[in-house]
Amino acid sequence: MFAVHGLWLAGGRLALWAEDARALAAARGPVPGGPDAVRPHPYACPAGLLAELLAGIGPRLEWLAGQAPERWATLALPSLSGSPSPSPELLGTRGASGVSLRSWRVPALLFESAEAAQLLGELFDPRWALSSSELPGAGRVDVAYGASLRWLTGVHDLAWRLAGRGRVLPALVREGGVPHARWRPVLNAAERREATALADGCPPVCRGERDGGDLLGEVLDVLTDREVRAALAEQPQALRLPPLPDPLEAADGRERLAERWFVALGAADGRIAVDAAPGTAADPEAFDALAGRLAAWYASGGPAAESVRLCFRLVEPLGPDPTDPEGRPSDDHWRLDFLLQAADEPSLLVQTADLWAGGAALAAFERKTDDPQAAYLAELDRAVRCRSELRPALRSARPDSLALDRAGALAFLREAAPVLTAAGFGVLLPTWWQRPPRLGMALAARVAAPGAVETPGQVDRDAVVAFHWQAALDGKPLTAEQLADLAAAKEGLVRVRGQWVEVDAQQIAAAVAFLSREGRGETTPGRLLRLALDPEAVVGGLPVTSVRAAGVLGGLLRAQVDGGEDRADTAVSTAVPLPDSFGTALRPYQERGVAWLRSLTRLGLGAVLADDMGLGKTVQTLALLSAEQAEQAEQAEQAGRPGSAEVGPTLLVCPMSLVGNWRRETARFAPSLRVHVQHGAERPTGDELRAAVSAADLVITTYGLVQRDAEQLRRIPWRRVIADEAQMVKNSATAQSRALRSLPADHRIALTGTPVENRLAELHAILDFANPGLLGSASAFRERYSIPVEQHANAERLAELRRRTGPFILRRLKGDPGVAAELPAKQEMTVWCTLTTEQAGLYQAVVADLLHRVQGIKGVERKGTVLAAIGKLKQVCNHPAQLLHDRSAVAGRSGKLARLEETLEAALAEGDRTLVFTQYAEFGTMLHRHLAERLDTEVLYLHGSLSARRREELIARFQERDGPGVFLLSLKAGGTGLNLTAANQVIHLDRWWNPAVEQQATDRAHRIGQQRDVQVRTFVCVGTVEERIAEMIESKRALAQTVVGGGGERWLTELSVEELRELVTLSEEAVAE
Amino acid sequence: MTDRAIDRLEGYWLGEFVLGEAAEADAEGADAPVLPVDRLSPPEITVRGRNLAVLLAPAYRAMTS
Repeated sequence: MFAVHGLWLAGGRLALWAEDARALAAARGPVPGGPDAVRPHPYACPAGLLAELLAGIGPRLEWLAGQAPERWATLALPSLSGSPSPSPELLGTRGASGVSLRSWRVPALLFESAEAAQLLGELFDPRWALSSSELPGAGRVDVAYGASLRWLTGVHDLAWRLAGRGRVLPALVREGGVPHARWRPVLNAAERREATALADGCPPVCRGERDGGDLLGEVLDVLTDREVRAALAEQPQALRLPPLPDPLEAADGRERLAERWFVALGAADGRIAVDAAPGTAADPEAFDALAGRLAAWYASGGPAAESVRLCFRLVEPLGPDPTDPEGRPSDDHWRLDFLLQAADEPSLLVQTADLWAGGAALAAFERKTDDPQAAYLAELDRAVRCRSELRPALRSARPDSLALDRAGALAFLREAAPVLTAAGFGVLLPTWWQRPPRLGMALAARVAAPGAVETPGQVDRDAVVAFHWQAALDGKPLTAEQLADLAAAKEGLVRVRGQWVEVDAQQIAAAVAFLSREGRGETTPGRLLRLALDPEAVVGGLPVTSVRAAGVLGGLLRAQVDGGEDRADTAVSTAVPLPDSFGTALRPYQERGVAWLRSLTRLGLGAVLADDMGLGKTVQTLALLSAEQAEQAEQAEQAGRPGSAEVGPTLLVCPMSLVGNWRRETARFAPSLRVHVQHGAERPTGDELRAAVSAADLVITTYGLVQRDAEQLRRIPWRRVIADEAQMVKNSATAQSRALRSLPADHRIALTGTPVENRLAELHAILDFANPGLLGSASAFRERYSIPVEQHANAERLAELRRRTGPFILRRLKGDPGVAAELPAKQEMTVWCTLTTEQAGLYQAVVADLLHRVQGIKGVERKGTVLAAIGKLKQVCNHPAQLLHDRSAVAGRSGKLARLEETLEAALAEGDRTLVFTQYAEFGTMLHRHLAERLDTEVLYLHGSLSARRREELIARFQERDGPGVFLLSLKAGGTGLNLTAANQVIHLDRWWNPAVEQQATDRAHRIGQQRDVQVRTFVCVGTVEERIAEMIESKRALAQTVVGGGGERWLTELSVEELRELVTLSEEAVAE
Repeated sequence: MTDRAIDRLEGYWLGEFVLGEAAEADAEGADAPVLPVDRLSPPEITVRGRNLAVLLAPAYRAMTS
C-alpha cells in the first residue's frame, strides 16, 4: 500500500511524495537526531520507486514521471514519539491524538508547472481516491491519493475549466523582477464560490502555515495560465503577430513592449524578451505605461452587477499596536476596508465583514442583487486586475480588508486610489490627504534693533529687518523636537503633531542643513517681501508657506498675503506729520497715501502711486518730501546739529509739459523745498550741476534730458528718483527707460494714473523701475502672468499678480467709496502749463510791440491796443498757429496743447468724459481735427456757427451711454443752457477772467442729474499774463469781482504802463525747453 | 500544546472539500456565457497597428473550441 501526496512549492512547482506501508512496518522506534534537526522521513517512498509506481498506473504518468527530477522536499507532519504519524490514506484510520508538528525531509519527484498541470489532470478523479499500480518485483499494489494531492487536482480542474471557457484575461506581471505575460483567471459567481470552498477546505498538510485562499490563488493562477498555453500550443496560429504595416518603419517605443508581451502570451514560459532598448521590458516607464493601459482596459467593463459598487476606505492606525506587547501605538498598521454600496442608494454602505456575517447587511443587499457576496467578490476581482497590490486580499476566502504598512498606505493614496476611482470604484480617503498638510518654511521678521546696521539715512531706519526661518506644517512652525522626528523618519508618511505628513527625507535633510546654516540673519524688507509674495519661493528646499512680520511690514503682508482685498494704504495707520509751512490740508485718503509712501521709504521699498487723475499724486509726493525734510531737521536739532538737516536730493523726472506744473505746485504746497529745474540749453553741467543739486532738495528734469544727460546724472547719489507719468517708461527696452533705471537712488517712486494702458508688461516695467528685480525678468513675467491673464483670462494668476504687487502699488479711484466720500462734488484745480520756445518768442514780440505802442496813446485807442495785445498773448499761450492764423501744423508747438493731450488721454483711460471749453472758435476748430486724430477717438465740437438742430444732435450724441469721451465747446455757444451731465471732467483751456461765466460753463456738467463727482481744470501758462491776471483775481477777489463785474477784460485797459509791463512780461520759468 | 492545536492536528492530513460537484453543476447549467474579454471596451493597446482585442480573438476561439 502506498499513499501519494502533493506539495505545492514556491515558483509554481509540484512535489510528489509517497508513504510506503511496507517501510512503515519495518520502521522501529524513533528516528535518531536532535530535537531541531530535520530528519529523513523513515517510511517515505524513494523517488525512484515513486516514479515506478506512477509508471505502473499508466503510460502518460510514466512519461511525466520520467520528466521529473528527484529532489528532497521538507514539510511539517504530525509526529508522535519521534516518528511521523502515518496519513489516514496509508492506515485507513484517523491519526492518533497527542501529536505535534515536526519537519521531515521526504524524497520527491519535482514537476515544473507545465508537467504539474498535466499530472494533476491525469490524476483527477472525483469519485475514487484509490488506484493500483503494477510494481516490478512486487506485483500489483494499491495506491491511495492523499487529500493534498486530491485537493490540487481539484484546483487544477477549476483552472482547466476556466481556461476552456475563456474566462481569462492577459496580464503583464513581474516575477522575481522579470517581466512576464500571464493569463489570469476571471471567476464568475459560481466559480468564485467553488474557489472559496476549495480555499476553506484546503488540507493543512498541503498549505502548511499558509492561508488556504493564498495557496489557492497562487495554484489557480499558475495552472490556469498553463492550461491556456496548452490550448494555444495546439493551435499555433491563434496568437500570431500581424505583419508590420510598413516593414521599413520600426515600431515606436510604446508598441515595442506591447509586441513582445503579446508574443510571450503564447510562449512556453511567458517570459518577455528583455533588452536595454527604450520602450522594451527593461524600461520601467514602458512597463508602467503598458500596465496602466491594461488596467484601464480591465476597468472599462464596469461592475458585473451594476446595482452594487465596491468602495475602499483607508483607515489610519488608531490606538495601541495589537502586535506590541506593551500596547504602544504604531504608525505601520494601516487598514484598507472594503465596503459595498448600493448604486441607487449611496447611503446603503456596509463593511463587507458584515456582508459575510449575513444578517441585516446581507438582506439589505439581497434586495439589490441576487448574490451580494458573489457580486462583491467579482468587483474585488476587477479591482485586483486594476491594481495588483490588492491581490493579497484574495488570499482570504472571505476578504473584507487588507492590512497595509506605511509605504503601502502611501502607495495606495498616491497611485491606486486615482486608478480605482477612475475605474468606477468608491474610494474614501482621510481628509488630510485630500488637503494634505503642507510642509514648508515659515519666516518671522521684525525691524532690526536701531543702530544694528548703518543705513544711508536715518529716515530709512526700518530698512533692515531681522529674520528667523523655521520649518512649518501648514504655516505653523515646528518645534526643534518635531523637526528632529521628521528628520529621523524614513521616506513616506510620518505623524507629526497628530497629523500625517508625506515627507521626503532628502528634502527634510536639506531643510535642516539650511536652518542650521542660514536660519537667522538680517536682510532688507525688499528681499523679504520678494520671498513672501513669490508663490514659487523655495527656501532650503521647501516652499515658503508663511511669513510673519511685525509693524508696517506685517501690515503690508497681511493685507496681501492673507488674500485680503485691502489696499496697501489701509495697512499703514500712522499719519505723517507735515510742517506748518505745507501749503494745504491733505484729505484723509491723501494722508493715508503719504503715510504709505513714508512707510515704504522707511522699508527701502519703491512705490507706485497710481491714483486716478485729480486725486493729488503731486501733492502727496510733495507732502512726503516736506515731511521727510521736517523729520530730518528735527532729528538734527535733537542731535545738536541744527541746520545740517539734509535728506539728500530728489530727482523728479516728468514730461516737459509738466515741469512748470511741478515748479508751481512745489512753490505753492512745499515752499521749504529748494527747487532746481534742470532744463534748457543753458542748464548746468559738471561741477555746476553738482553745486546746483547740492543746493536743492528737489531737482526737476524731463525724460528727454535724463536720456541725454544720463552720464552726468548717474554721478550724483540721488536720495530718490521719482518718475512722474511713469507710463512714459512702460517700454523697458527704450533708451529713455534704460537711462532712467540707470540712475542710482536709495528710493524710487513711480507716479501714474494709468499703470496699465494696454498690456501687463507695462506694469512690470513700472514696478521694475520702482523695485528692480521684484517681479523677475520681463520674459518670466510674461510667461507667468501676461500670457495666462491676457490670452486665457486666468483669474487665479490675476489674483496672484495682485497679491504680489499689492504692497507696492497704491491705486485709488475717484469712485472708490472711501475716496468719493472725501472728495467735494466739484473739485477745482489749476493745471500749470509752459510755453514752447516758439510760443515764448511770439509772446515776447507781442509784449514788445504793446509796450512800445502804448507809449503816447490815450483813450479809446489805448484801450483798444491793450485789449488786442492781451488777446494776442492769450492766443500765443494757446497755440502759435492761433496767433498767426496761418493754418500751420498743430502738433508739438504748444505746451498747453501737450498738457491737454495728456489730460485727455488719462481721462479717456479712466473712462471719464470731458467738456473742453475755449473762448476761441478758431482754436476750437484747430483742436477738433487734431485731437480726434491724436487721441484716435470721436471728438465733438459745438460752436456758434452750427444750426440749432445740429447742436441738439451733438448734445444728444454726447449724452448717449456710449457717447464720445471729448466734447469741445466754444464758451459763448456752449457755456450756458446745455445739459451735459454725461461729462465728469471740465477743462477751461483759456481764461475769460469772469468767474461767473466760467462757473456757468462748468455747470453744464456739474448740475442736477450728474451722478459722479466733477473735476474742473483751468489751464494756465506759468509766468505769462494768464497766471498774473489769475493771481490778481485770486488775491483781490472782492475787488476783482467789482472790477470785472461787467465781465471781460476791460479793467485791464486802465493799468499804467508799468503795471502793464509787470502784467505781461514773460518770466524765465515760462519756457520749458 | 493547546487542545485547539490538537484538534487541528487530528485533521491535519484531511481537507473538507468535495471534488466534481461544481463541475457537474456547471455542466448542467452551461449555456454560452459572455467571455470576460467581451465585456471590455477595446483597449488602447495596439500591436503592429492592430488593436489588441482583434489580435486576441483567435486565441479565445482556440481556448473555447
